[in-house]
Amino acid sequence: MADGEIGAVLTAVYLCPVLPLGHIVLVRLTRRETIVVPSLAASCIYVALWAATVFHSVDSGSLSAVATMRMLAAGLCTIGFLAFGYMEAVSHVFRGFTMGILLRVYLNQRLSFQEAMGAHSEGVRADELLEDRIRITMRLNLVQFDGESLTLTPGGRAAGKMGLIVKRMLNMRTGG
Amino acid sequence: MAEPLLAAGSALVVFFILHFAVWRLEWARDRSVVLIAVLSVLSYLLVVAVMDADISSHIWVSCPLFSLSMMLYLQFYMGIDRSVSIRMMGEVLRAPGGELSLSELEALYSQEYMVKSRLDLLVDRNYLVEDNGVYSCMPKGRYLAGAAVLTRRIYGLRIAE
Repeated sequence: MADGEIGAVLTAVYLCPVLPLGHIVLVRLTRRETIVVPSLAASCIYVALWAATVFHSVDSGSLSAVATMRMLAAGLCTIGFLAFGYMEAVSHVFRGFTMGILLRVYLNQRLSFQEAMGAHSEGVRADELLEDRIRITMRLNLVQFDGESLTLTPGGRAAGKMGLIVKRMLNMRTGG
Repeated sequence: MAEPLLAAGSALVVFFILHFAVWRLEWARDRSVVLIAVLSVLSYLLVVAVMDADISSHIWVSCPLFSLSMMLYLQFYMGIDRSVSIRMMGEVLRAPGGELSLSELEALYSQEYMVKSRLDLLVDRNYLVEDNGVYSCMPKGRYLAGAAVLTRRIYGLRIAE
């Protein structure tokens, strides 16, 4: 039984370059600096290749339902782990605000605090970041802004409360 | 299928107990990602050592299942910790009457704070060095930034100065 699971995990690991390669091709073709949609599209190719490789190498007729489920869980969880890990790592390079500041210092050799204020994240300058987030949260129906003041929708209150509760429970700093 | 679920589930419970206890300590606050990874490995190893089952009967399922759960939790944790939107909604929620003007929000969560806190973090982790208010890269920072530039070139992304 374990042989199929080992094969499922190892196949997921050795096919993992499909994910960044697919992402690179899609980003270059579409010329859009996005992570989620092209990564998910590349993940679909990854899963399809993995399933074709794994189920081609075993006699699926001889597998019980439990053995098939265990193989699927082993392989798909490995793929999920690698895909989310990849998206987290690449997000810093694509739109990380801290990475944007580091890059700006690196490319300019030396940088003052005021110059660092011009660092970009997702094409947004630091001094525009708050307005940008208001626009995004309004689009997600979390926040209402009448041009003067901000209020929260029920969804926004739930998200804000969740953030405050988790931060209090885990003794975290204010963050953001 | 019960053994892998039991192992991964127990490891998650042990992780959250350790996570909650360790995060009470002041020094743990700034080492979040590395510490979460270390606690995850410790939790899993502890459960596997204690469980009355042959490790080979579940490890190829329980380990990926637990790893995926931890990766999802890490995404959630980082979102809560770093998200500007979550911080903003928290500030509005705490405001009297649940209402905040843009200038009040900027006073509570200034642009200077956003940049300064990140610059301080980069200096604290030895990526940057500050000299009379001017920042420059340390070797570690040059290596990471160089890798990021190379990655952006591979993806065909704009590299703006």
